[in-house]
Amino acid sequence: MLQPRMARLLLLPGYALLALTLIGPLITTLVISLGRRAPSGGYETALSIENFASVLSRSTAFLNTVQLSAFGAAICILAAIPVAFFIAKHLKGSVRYTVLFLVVLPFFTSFVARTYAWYFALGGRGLPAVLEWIGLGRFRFLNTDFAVAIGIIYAYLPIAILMLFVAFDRIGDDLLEASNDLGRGKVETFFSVVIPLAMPGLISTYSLLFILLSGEYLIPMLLGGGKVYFIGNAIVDLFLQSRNWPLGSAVAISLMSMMIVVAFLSQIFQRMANRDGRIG
Amino acid sequence: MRAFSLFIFLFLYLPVAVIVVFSFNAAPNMSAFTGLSLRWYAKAFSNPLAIAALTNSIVIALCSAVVSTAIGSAVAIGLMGTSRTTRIVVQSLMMLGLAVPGIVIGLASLVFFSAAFSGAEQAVAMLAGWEQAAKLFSFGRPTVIAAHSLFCTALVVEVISLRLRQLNPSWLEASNDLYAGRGETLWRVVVPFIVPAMVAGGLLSFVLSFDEFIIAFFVSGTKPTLPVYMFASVKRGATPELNAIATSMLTISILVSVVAFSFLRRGQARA
Repeated sequence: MLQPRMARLLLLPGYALLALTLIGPLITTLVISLGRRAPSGGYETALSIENFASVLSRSTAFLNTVQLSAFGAAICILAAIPVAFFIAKHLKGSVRYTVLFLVVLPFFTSFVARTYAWYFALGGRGLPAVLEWIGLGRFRFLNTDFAVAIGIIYAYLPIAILMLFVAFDRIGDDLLEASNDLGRGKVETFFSVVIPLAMPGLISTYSLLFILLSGEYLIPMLLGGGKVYFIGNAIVDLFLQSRNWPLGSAVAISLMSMMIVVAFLSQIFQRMANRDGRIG
Repeated sequence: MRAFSLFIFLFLYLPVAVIVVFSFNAAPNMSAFTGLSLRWYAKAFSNPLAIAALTNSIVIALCSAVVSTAIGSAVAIGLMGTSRTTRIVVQSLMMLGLAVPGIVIGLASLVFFSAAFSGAEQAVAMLAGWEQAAKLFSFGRPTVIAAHSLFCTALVVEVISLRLRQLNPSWLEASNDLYAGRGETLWRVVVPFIVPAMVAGGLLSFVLSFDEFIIAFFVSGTKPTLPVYMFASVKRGATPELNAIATSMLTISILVSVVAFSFLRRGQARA
């Protein structure tokens, strides 16, 4: 329908945007990561991989990030499975989409405002005050791993439910009925039919959550008070405080490389799960 | 399972409900609810810093929405008429724009724009011999709009491509049979067909840009957007005024998202 020349013309603004906001910035970051910090901060031309060796000095941040992201993504999935399955297989018609919409809606509201809600709820006058009033003793939630984990799960649960809904929705009801007719109970059907068939979806959801979580800065900053130190915190400190752009860029590129590895592994595992699903 | 789903619902909505309720609290300290009042809204909306941040956010979100709807629609239509290779390359780059974490896009935009700015300033100084060139460019609304337009455009392309896949090819043939030229078919058949998706994509872009924090944190310079302003204030502690600002932000994004999703569904119902 479209003439090739017309199509090229229509794509032109898209190319300009990608060059200006994606390719240009990423290449600049790569170049700067090979440079040196200028005496007054910023960047000085150089060509070395020194910064990537110094990335190891931030290994605590990497370890923290990997641990809390792996844990947070796992909890998100475990909490999302029953809800997504309930919406996909037990609700019908317009109720189903209304409920799904209500679950996803928080994802389209302000991250800062939602994280602030937990800052408020876990802060001195929130939950700790309630618990003390009941007589359970003194508690402190803010600035702990627990608070960061809660914030992470809260923020990313909607997207987990949405992705798992899609995975469960694809499984035909006839397969569940067939399993039932063959004498398998609901629980057994769930574990021997639904989970294996949804495995590729579970894997892609887990890896996406892991990738999203490991780029977090806001949640560890507000709910962890900067004491729970993520790679995101390290990057912001390096850029906006010590103004060590080359090291900051090297940390960012290491973070991205880690994410690419995770995405790649996820592809391999999904393919394996697909094959297993077909045989089983 | 039903009970657990209900529990998750409470988990998702309760903390937000708490700040909404406390934003209307008359008491000066937040330990108890003593009565309804709008005093914190009055206080928040008479704070010049908050108002400046709100204005900033609205202007940025509007511009990002317009820019990304225009570019995104053009790209989505253009992709129908290109080779397979071009389509895959453009689509993957757009997906990359959505997938690269905000913190990386933020710092990459910071270093890229400052390099570009100092390069352009040096060029101006050299060519025009102008001493003041060193302060010609600075971070602010344009840099945030540019950076936000990336992921917003990627979203618009995705939403419109989805809609274009539902376009019945026989309509294009019918248009051709009725002696409409290619341009006329594009303008009178394809464009009207994707209008609901354009509106939905634009509104979602507005919401995403309005709420975006980490990229704006890096490239907004000395003019914070509302999320950046709020972040800086929260670090000094929770206040009733912040409850009012948070409630206002949530209200704006919920209203716009609801309208956006109703357009998405209307588009689907007609197809």
